[in-house]
Formats: sequence, structure tokens, C-alpha cells
Amino acid sequence: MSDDDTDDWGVLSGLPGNPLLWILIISELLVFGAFFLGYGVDRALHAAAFRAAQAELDVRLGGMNTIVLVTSGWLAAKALAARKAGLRGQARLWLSGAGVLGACFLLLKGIEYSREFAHGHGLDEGGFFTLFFLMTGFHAAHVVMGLFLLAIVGWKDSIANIETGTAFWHMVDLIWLILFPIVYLVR
Amino acid sequence: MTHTIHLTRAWAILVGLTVISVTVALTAGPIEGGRVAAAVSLSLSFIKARQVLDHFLELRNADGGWHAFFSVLLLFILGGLMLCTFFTH
Repeated sequence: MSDDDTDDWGVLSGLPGNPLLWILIISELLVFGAFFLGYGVDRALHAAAFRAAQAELDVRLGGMNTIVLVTSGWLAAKALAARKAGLRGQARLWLSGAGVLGACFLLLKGIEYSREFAHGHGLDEGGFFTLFFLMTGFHAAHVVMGLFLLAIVGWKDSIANIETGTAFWHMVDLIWLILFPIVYLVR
Repeated sequence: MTHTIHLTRAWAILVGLTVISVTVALTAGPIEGGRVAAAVSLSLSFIKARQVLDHFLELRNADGGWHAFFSVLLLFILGGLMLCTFFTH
């Protein structure tokens, strides 16, 4: 088999960056999408209980975390642009900024969780808060993984590596942009 | 340079739409059960997701078919969630 054969990803070749990352992005969107639709159905069936529980969430904290994460994504995108322009030092600086903001996201999420735990809510409660902790916790696990990836591609900083690491980070961003309104805003 | 401007504009749109949606949720009081409010909120989510896909993930450089594919995928998820609000009592 020639190299030409192994580089041919068919229809996926039309996507920017590593095709495998796009397969991951599509898969994650489908998995989280099924999760979100399950949440939507459960909420429709138990609307009053969900509304009462949602009223206990801090919308400001959720909004602040959204701004932190999209700003982190912006810095990650700037890192890739800088690396493509040959500015390795600047690329690492932007990646570091993206990582710091990613850590801030987790810190704010930790503060939010500790408040909810203090109010007696937990994963085993059933209803809204079980789904809240599962969805946001699953997402936070992806943030942790993304931070590791950003650190690795900041160290091994080829254009392809940074493109792959930042694509994962943007996927994490993308999922949060759907999660945030359905949990915090749509009541 | 143009690419950096695109990125900054996308970031400004993302932050702006987030601030608007949070401000509306906080100042308009509870928007419980409001299907119009849900539709606005989910529509803003679609616009934000497209900004990330098109500019941060550079999907705007991809074939037109991929644009449509991701729009359909997002509309399936967000539309499904919107549909759920019609069955909410």
C-alpha cells in the first residue's frame, strides 16, 4: 500500500486538520446530544421538580464560566494561528493562557459543586441534580483531558500537534455552549 | 492578520451573546416554561456553536457539505430539545 492510499480519508479529507479528530468531534456531539435529549425528555415529564431545582443554580456563575471557556478557546485558536506564522514563543504563550483559563473553569465548577453539596444536593438524589452532576461532570472530565492535551502540544509544538490539541479544546467549548442554556437558562 | 480579526470577531460575538442571554435571564426574572424564551436561548446556542465550528475549528474552509452536516446535527439536538418544551407542563 502506498502513502497516497493511507493519506486518502475520502470525504473526511475535505475537513481541516486531522480527520480522526473530526470523527471524535462528531462522536462526542452524538453522545452528548443523546444525553441532552434524554435530559429534555426527563425535564418534560417532571417539569415542576426540574424548575424548582434549576432555580437553585447560580446563572451568573454559569455565565461567567461560559465566558471563561470561550475566551480560552479564542486563545487556543490564536495559538494555532501564531504557530502557523512561525511564532513559536507566542503560540506557547497563548496556549498557556488557554490552559490557565481552563483551570479557572474547573475552579469555578468546583465552587459551584461545593455550594450544591452544602445545600444537600448530590449525585444520588435522582431527578435534575443527578443529571446536572452527570452532564457537567462528564464535561469537566473532558476539560481535564483537554488541559493535559494543551500541555503536551505546548511541549511538542508541531503545527499538526497544536491543531489536534486545540481542536479537542474547541470540541469541549462546543459541548458547553449547548449544555449551558439547557441547564441554566431554559426553565 | 485577517484570520486573527475573524477569530477576535467570533470571540466578541460569543461573549456578547452570552452576556445578553445571562442578562435577560437575570433581569427578566424567571422565564419558566416560556417557549419563546427557550427558542431564543437555543437559537443563540446554535449561533454560538457555529462561530466555534466556523472560526475556531476553521470549518468555514471545508466543503459546503460539511457545513450542512454540522448544521443538521446541531439542529437535530437543539430542535429536539425545543420539541421537548412543547410537551412540558
